Amino acid sequence: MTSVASAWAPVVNLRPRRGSRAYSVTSSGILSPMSRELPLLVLCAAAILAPSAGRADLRLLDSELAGPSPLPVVLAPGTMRLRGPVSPDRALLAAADDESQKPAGPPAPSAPTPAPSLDFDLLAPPPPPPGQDPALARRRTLLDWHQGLGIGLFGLTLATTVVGQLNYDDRFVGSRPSTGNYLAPHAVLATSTLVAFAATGMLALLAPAPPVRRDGFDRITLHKIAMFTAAAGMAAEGALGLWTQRREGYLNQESLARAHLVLGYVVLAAVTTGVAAIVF
Amino acid sequence: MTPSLLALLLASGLSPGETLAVDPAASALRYHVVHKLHRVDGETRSIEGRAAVKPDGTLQAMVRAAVASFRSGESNRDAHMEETLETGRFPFVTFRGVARLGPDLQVPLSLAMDGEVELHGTRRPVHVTLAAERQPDGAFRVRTSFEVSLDAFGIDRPSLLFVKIEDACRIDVDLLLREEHR
Repeated sequence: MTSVASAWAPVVNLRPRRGSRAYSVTSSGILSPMSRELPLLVLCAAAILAPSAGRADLRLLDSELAGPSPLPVVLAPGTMRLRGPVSPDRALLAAADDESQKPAGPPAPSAPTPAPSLDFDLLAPPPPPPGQDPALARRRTLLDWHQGLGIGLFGLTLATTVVGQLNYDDRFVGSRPSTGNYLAPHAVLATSTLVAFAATGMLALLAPAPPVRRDGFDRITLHKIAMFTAAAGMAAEGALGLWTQRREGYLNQESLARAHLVLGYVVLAAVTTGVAAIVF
Repeated sequence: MTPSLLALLLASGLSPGETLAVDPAASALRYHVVHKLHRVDGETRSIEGRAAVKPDGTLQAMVRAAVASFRSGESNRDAHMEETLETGRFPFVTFRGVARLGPDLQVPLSLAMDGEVELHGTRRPVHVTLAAERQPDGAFRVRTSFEVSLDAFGIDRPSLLFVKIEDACRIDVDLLLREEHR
């Protein structure tokens, strides 16, 4: 009893007299008679409740009551100091207050508002796709070649017509004798034009049909009319050109040559119209 | 939903939970592409679409059109477009969008909408500004216009005389939406 009472002497600020009961000072300051075991029970309760008080270190030091004490007082880092007479429960309360008075850390950043989802369907699901027709890729390839060859055809037709005009002028215009310089080039160009025209036409005719045929007059209709006209004229030109060449020395050769020249310009106009219908 | 927002929605003719459907006879989708020698415009009226106002004030919209239904006035060009866009595999162009109906809602509406366009099997985000007006018969006329990149959708741009059309394609939207009674 004596050792226990002396150990609590700084807390209760009482010096128990020899043989007397030990007293404890409550928070209200009212003395209440207690048994000898109560201080020990309080000490055990403080040890149990210390972690719930924020793990505050409950080592107490009362500087005013500091004096020779049988127990060594060791101050650990962060040890809480209490001034004035305190009880263990006040120590716990003070420890809890100290924890609550610690400055709060920076508030956690609020999560950004998520963007609304686009994963929704307001319409009935569509029917499954029929699949791509492989013939369409072949159509595109043939029409691309048709377009490239068609540009070359236009150039050949223009060159054939120009050289044909020069050949006609050399043969039938003026009084000077014909040089014959344009006869062979005109024949080569005319033959090349006919071959190119046939190849270009075949590419278009062999291309698979479009997915859906639509009626009505449009650029393609004009292109087809112009090219069919040019095809007819080109066939006639080939026959007329050969016939004109065979009528060398005959009186009607010039009239045949003039018809051949006029028809050549008609073919050039038809080809130009067909190309312009696509390009412009 | 705040009471003020609810009041604005009701004043504008929109109610939470309301669904509006596109009237295809009075609506149109148009595309515009440019070539050095041509300017091509195509249009379709074969449109299906729906808009819904959710209880939290979010507006959801979805519009879909068959790619093969677009007409440019030239059958060969339309056929070429169908080949290029592989309509057999990807028959539709679809738009989905959402918008938050904020407290500054006014009638007529000018609404920013975040969405995505699905074309040629590819989805790309778009941001559009809708202009919506209430019609005398209670329907809504909604208009907007935005540009998309053909290359971004993996489209092999058509060419003429070995010159390709420009990458930018402008889409004009003109829809008439009516309240849908289910």
